[in-house]
Amino acid sequence: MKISDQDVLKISELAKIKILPNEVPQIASELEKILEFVEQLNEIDCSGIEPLSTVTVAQAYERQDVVDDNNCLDDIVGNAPEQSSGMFVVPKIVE
Amino acid sequence: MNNLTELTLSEARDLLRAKKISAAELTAAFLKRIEAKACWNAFITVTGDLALAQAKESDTRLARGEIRALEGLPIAYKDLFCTKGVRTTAGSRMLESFIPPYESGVTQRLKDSGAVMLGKTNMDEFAMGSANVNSCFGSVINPWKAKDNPAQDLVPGGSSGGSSAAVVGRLCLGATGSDTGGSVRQPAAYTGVVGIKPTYGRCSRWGMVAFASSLDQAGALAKSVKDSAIMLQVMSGYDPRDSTSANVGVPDFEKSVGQSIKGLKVGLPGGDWIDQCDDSIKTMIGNAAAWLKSAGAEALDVSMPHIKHSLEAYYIIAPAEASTNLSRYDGVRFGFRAPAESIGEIYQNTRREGLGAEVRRRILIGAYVLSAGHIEAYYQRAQKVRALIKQDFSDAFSSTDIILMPTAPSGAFAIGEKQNDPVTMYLNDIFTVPANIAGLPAISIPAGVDSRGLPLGIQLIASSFNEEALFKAGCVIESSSGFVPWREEEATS
Repeated sequence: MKISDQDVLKISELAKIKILPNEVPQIASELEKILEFVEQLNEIDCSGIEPLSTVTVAQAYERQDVVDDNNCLDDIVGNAPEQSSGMFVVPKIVE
Repeated sequence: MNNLTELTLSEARDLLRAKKISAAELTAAFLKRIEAKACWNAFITVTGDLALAQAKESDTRLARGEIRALEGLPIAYKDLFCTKGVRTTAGSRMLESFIPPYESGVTQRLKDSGAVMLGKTNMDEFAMGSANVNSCFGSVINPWKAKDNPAQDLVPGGSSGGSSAAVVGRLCLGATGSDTGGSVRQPAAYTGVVGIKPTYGRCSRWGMVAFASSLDQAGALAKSVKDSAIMLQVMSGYDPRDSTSANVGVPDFEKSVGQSIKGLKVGLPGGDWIDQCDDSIKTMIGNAAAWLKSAGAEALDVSMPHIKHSLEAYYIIAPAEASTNLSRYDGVRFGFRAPAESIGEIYQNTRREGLGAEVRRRILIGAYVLSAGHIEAYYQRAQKVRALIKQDFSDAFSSTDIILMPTAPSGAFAIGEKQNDPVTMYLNDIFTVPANIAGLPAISIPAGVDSRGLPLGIQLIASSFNEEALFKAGCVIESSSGFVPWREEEATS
């Protein structure tokens, strides 16, 4: 699949990773090589095959909705790059 | 006693229990050697004080006879297992100062069994890599040197390259790793140690920094098959906090060690992907089949037409899952944050500056294959091929007990090689990825050397939850191969 500059900018927005204009051609070329490699899958006849999303043998279950880990607010918020009074701080979002 | 760091895990265990050595002196010997070999860059964080305190507690328990499975045995943890109160980075600038408020399921089990934590080992960032050159803490150096160029620094494999270098270089008795596409087995092969990836669901993923959740599984790197069985025993078991953890019993793995393999059926998948390997690897495969036959096994050819496409399916599925898993690194709740004026810029700048080039590339690929208009052609097609690969294995296991393959297509290469384009690096994982795609247990055992005198690994793959077959057959390969373990070069001055 040919990757255009527009494609790169679009996935950069989807992935929330800033890409500078002068980096776009190089990234497009790398992604194209990877896609060209994975497109070898097109040789395989997959008609009638159901997609397999997991190989787990575990059965999904509902856990008890109870507090099991108390009093670690400071440890958790302590990892934030910016915090105040036990809360995460971000720039103003709503005008 | 001299050379405490030369002991295997099981030898050290026996000496501790016989009170011939103490956990404190054993731990001190490893800490001293870690310091002396800092040039290999195998550790991101060394927890010396903590290790000595744990060793002291183990010595008290050993004296009282309250002995747990790994009492007083110093081991290392790949730096993606969250350790409560001890920095856990996943090799990324993004988590450079992250202190987990909780302990991973696997390291909790090791801790509860009395293991001493020496520190956290270096790794490719977020476990994405095959050479340990993608760490924000720098490359890891393989203690092995090629006989034709002893001055050249070689890669230790990846992504668990710090763990593999630490085990072979005698910096610990064993180490944990994680294996999403071969990240335990391939570095084990490149460094001449044993690496086991168990069945998907055998070990808890709770508290392991996630890469691709349907493929990620913890594993162990060790000096011998027996040591790997002892470690996996402790690491395995049901954990309700991981929704994919398997609620199945854990057999006594150590009991498998040394058991007869009479009548064991060994499948050999042929095909051009193996024919293209170095001659030394083809010879090793032939030898391994002969050793297993001499020990009473039967070898037969198996047809597995789709498994050579595992790597292509992997490079859709793994980036897709990574792109969703790594969306949590947004610069808000934990980890690195780049300076920015708005929330949108915080996301964009943080992820650009906090993540390395390979990680960003895989996230972009993942975003692409999951995006509207492409999801069917890429992601869903890869999932269909995944079903076909799993079926290939099911068919093969209807007539065989284990599959025999190389672990990697070559021996270790120089740091800086294979970095011109990403796909060349990805091809190192061609033989290890199939077991992840199908969720099967697999082991790598050192079994030969390449033309440069560097170690090569044999890989055995078994059906789900049949790790015991791997330990049994692995012992036969280990005792038959005549593989000469890594030795420290004498100082030449």
